[in-house]
Parts: sequence; structure tokens; C-alpha cells
Amino acid sequence: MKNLKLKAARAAKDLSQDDLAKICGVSRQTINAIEKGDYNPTIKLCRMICRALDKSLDELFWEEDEV
Amino acid sequence: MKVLSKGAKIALDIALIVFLVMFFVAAQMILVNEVTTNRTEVIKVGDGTISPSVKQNLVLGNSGNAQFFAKWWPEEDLGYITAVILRDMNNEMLFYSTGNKLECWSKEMRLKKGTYEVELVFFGNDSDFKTYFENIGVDTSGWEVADCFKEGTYTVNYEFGIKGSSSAITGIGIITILFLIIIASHLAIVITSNSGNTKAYYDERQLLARGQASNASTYSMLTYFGIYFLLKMGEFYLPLPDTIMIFGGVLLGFVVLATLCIWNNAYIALNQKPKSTLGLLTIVCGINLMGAIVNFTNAYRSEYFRRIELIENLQFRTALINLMMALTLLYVIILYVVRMRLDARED
Repeated sequence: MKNLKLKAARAAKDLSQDDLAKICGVSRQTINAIEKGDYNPTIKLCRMICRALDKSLDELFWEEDEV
Repeated sequence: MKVLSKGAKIALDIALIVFLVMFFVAAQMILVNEVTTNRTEVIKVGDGTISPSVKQNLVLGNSGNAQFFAKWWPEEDLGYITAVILRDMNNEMLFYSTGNKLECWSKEMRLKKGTYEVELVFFGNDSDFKTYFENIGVDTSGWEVADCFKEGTYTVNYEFGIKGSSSAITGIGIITILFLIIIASHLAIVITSNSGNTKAYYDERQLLARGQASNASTYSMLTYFGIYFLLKMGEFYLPLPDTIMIFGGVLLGFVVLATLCIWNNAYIALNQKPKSTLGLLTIVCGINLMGAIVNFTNAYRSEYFRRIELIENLQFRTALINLMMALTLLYVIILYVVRMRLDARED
């Protein structure tokens, strides 16, 4: 499932995938894979992304319909 | 997962260069000198007359791997059969060859320094021929040679000797130089690049992808070698010699690993420069391609090549390995470039 919330948050901060990847210390393709829903990141990376985008874990990674 | 730091890479490259030089020096020390002798014999066949056998000593200066060979050139069609026997200092037979042919080569043997005796025996009839071999413990049942004998006098030039590992040493020398060029190129890239300032590493998704790729690579190699050994045990005909078949399995593993890693963007670590890696791959690919061309040309030119089955030729095998390596690397380079283009479009 695509993570549109992450994409939106990144766009709101005016960051490219590459910028966010550099902040988090991962490859651009990893950020792309997370946004496309092809890869489930570890909690460690989720926290790094959240910090970079000033969002909480719930805001970016919690899906109501998944419960 | 951290990849090696710049200092560690330089140290490793230097260690490899030292090892290669030492290996080459050690290989030189086991070089066996070539010993070759020529002689002309007049062989009479008919009226119960046959020339006696001739014996010649060959002195080997160094121990090492070597091949014994004998070649002969009769003025006319052969009407007799020559047997060539090589014995060591203890009079133990190391090699024999016979039949209505003009050239024979032993397999590569480990020969000690010393004197070896070569005996050329000429046979003018079937019974002498079979009796001789039965006396030295060779089973001659099934040898149909009665039609080979023809009366006449034949002048034949013989050349025989022990061919040392000189060709192998040349091969080792070429391979060593190629490796030295590769390592020196890598060293130059590492020293001139700035990637050493920031350590390269793989992120968590890349590590996962690499793990999956390693798994797939291992299983594909296991499957390949499983099938290969089954075919081998079943004595099925395999079109290529063992060296090539085994090398093919290793390459298969590498191709699977590289394909999955490249496709999942996990081949090159973060902070590593793709251009440097691609440059190095291109150099290795080019060197292998050159090696293949040189070895194919040499193999084609050699007299040995024309007289035996193509695939038995060592240089041909080396050329084939070079070619397989070059094609594999070319595939990796092309796949990497394609992936980079697709990535750029995605971006």
C-alpha cells in the first residue's frame, strides 16, 4: 500500500526523495520504496524519517484500516 | 553493514600485489626446463627384418609439472607402428603411446629432477607388436592393427622430449600481470577518490536485498552443481571440460547475485561512486576480452591445436574462461547502466 502521508509530508517540507534520503542516511531508492509501499522500514528508520519531517510515527505510518 | 575504509582498501590492495609477486616468483622456481631431442631412423619392414628399438636419455634439470611428447615425420605412408615409452630412473614406465599416429603427448605429470629414458620401438608385424605390450603388462585385446603393416624401408625423423611448465608459466605470468593491472587500477581509484573520507555502507533495505540475493545465488549454484555432479556420476556426455563447467557454476552464482543486487539498487554501497565501480568493471572486462583474443589467437596458431580435440587445448580453455568472464562483466555493466537510466526516470 502506498504511503501517501509520507509523500505529502515530504512535499510539504519541500524535500526531494534524495534530500530526505541523505538526512536519514539511506539511499533514495529506499525512500522511494517506502513511499510506494514496496518496503516496510524498521522502527529505527521510521523514527529517523519522522524526525526529519517533524511528524509523529502515528501521523506517517499508522493506517487505521490495517487494524 | 560497513564496507572497508580507504586505508583498509589500500592495505588490502598492497597485500594482494605482494602476494601476486611472491606467487609468480614461486611459480618461476618450479619451472621445468625443456628437453628436446631429434634423431633420424631408418626402419625396414618385411622379410622378418625390423630395426631394433632405440633408447635415449632425457635429463631434467628441475622438478615440476611437465608433459612428455613425441612427434615423427616419415617420408612415405607408414607401414609400421612406433611405440613410445617413457621410463623413470627406477625403470618404471610412466607413459606409453602407440598406434598409427604421428604425434603423442602425455598428460601433465609431476616429474622429479633426474634422468628419464625414452624408448622408441618399431614393429613390422602384428604378433611382435602384441607380444611386446603383453610383456610390459598392457592388455592388447581389442587392438586391431594387422592392416597397418606394409613392407618397405622408411626414413623417419623423430623429435621427442619433455615440455616443461614453460607454457603454464607464461600463462601464470600473463594472469599475474592482468591481476596486477586490475589491483593497481583499483588502488589508483581508491587513492584518488574522496570516498574514503565518508565511509561507505549499505542501508537496511539494501542489506535485506543483498541477503536475499546471496540466498538466491547460493541456491542457484547448489542446483547447478547438484545437476552437474549427477550428470558426472551418471557418466553423461558433457560438451565442455570440468574446468569450464565448474567455472560456469561460479559465474552463474555471481550473475544471480549481481542481477538481484543491481535490480534492487543494492549493488553499490552508499557513498560509493558508481562511476569508479563501473570504471573498474570496464577495465577488468577489457582485460579479460584482450586475454581471450590473445589466447584464442595463440591456440589457433599452435600446431598442437590442429592435432587434438579443440577443447583439450589449455590455451583454448583459458581463452574460453576469459571470454566467459568478459561477457559476464559486460552483462553486469549493461544491467547497471540500464538500472541507472530507469532510476533517473523514476526520480
